[in-house]
Amino acid sequence: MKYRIFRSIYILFTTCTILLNSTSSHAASKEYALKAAFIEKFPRFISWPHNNSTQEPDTVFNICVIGKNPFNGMLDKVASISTIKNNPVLVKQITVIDKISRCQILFIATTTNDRLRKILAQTKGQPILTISDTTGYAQHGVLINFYPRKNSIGFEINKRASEQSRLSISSRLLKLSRIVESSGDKP
Amino acid sequence: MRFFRRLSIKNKLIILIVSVSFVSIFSIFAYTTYVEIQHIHNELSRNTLKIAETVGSYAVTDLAFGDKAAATKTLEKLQNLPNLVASSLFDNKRELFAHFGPEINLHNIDLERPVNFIDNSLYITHNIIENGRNYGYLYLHISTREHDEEILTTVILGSAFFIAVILLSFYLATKLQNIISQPIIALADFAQQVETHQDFSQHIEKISDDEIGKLYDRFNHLLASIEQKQTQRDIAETELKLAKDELEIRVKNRTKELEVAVSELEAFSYSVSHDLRTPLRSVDGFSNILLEDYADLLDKEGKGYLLRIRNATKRMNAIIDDILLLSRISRADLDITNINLTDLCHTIIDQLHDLQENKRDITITIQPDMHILGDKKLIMLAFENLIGNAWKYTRYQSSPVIEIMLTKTNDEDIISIKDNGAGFDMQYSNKLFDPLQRLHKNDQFEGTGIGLATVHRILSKHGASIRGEGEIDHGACFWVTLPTKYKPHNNTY
Repeated sequence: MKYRIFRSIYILFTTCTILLNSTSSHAASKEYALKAAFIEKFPRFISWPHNNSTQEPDTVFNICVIGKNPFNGMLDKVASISTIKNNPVLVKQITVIDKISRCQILFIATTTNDRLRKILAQTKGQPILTISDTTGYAQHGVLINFYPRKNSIGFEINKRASEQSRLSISSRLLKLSRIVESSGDKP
Repeated sequence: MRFFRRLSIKNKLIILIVSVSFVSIFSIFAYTTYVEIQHIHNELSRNTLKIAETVGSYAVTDLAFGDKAAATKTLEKLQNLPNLVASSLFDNKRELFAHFGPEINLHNIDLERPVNFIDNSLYITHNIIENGRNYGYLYLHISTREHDEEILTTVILGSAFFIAVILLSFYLATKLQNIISQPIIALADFAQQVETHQDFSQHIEKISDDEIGKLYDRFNHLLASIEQKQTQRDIAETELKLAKDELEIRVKNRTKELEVAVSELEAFSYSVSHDLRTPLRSVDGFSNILLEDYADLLDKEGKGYLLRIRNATKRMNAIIDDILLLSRISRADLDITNINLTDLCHTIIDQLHDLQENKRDITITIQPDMHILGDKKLIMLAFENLIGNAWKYTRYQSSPVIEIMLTKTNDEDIISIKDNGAGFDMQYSNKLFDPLQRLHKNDQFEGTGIGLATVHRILSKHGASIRGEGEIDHGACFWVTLPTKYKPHNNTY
């Protein structure tokens, strides 16, 4: 009898654990699906400069991810069914900072402050749309940074950085965003 | 159409002019009103669509990133749009995304119709498409009350103008129809006047040179020719009347002369006949005295001559009697009654039997129930003569037969008197009814030769006729045709 009660408690416990896990992972996957969709939509309201000598002719639209990819395949899924600026989309995982010049969009996962500074130093002045979802990253110089909003996801834009990057961001996109200043720029 | 036909030409013209102007002005009015309404609607919907396009493009990011708060803000910017009632944004799955304005009923929204005018409202649906991507729909509800009032004002003003123009056209039609109707009415009145007074010498003054003017000319010509014909006819009539009057006077004179001559003749013949009697009586009387008182002095031959004288005087007396009777008949008036001819014939036969010294064996057939119309005395006299002749001329017949029959037709009674006696020669048939004409010798059949003349005179007086047919020794037949109707106071000779 004792054995049986123990077994039942064990089953109940494991079931609860699985249920809890699945709900939290479900919420996370929904969040990143939305973020992936947003990333796919941003280029519609942003224009890249045409004469970019550092870039190859536009045959592929590169979305690069640096750091630990949090999308769990969502971004690849979105990319596989969409075209951006009439080009097929390629999602690349980047490990070497030097290779980022080929990217049109660079998603920067949460990383160390040191590494972020290095990456941003690399992208500064380049027509690369940097995106992140870590609090404070926009202030560091990332162009677009997601932040949680009630029932949804908001995004903030570092306007100064966007101007330096020669990317032209539509006012229609700007009106939806929270405009932030670089922390270094602050007086 | 019947009602229209009964109208006077004046009213016809007025109705015609007013209805033509009504139709034309009404169609122009209706057309311009329609065009005006269309123009106002087109202008309004075009302008609204332009605004919807701009706003729709501005709302693209709101829809793309699902930012309902931003979308509501976008819609709020529309509130300055005049007459806007409500505005809504729908996502590309047609779900309501954002709304501004009073509560709306989603069932009433038709996203398939870009422009929809219903009851003082304009509903504009703009499908937001950018770079081939459907982001959703912008739905605008605009109140058109202001425009509708503007249209209504236009319609009211137009109607007032329309009524004014119709009234004016009625007034003008009433005035102007005279130009056309007046000459026609004048002609109609004139024709009536001509008809009433039968005066074709009149003439109508021409007013216009159109078809009615020509009609006036024709009418005047017609009147002139009628007038001419009438004058000719009047002249002819007068001449005819004069000729007739003259003829009548002449006839009257001749008749008077003739009457005088006839009456003189009758008086003469009467007096002659009458005066002849006296010497005749003397001749007869004295020859009788000679025979009775001086018979011894005369031989047989002398007595014979005296007897002959006496027979001659008797005959002459009879002739004189008959002539007197004939002249009396001429003067007599007719008294027409219904006569039973059968009875009359039987009476005559009875008289004839009574006068006969020796009984005669004679077969007489008289049709029963014969009825005719005539003067009884004169008819009796005529039939006495006719039957008497038949009786007389069958004297030497071994088996004498007399047959009297009546045949009735529609307007005539034909009586036949047939015998099988001596007959007569048809070549003298035209002399049968002349007085003093005899077809037989006196020694064979006595007679004065006045009998058939008397019969003829009687029947002529009745307007009847007689004809005879015969053959020597094979009998004779006389047909008397009597009329079945007499005019009152028939004085036919």
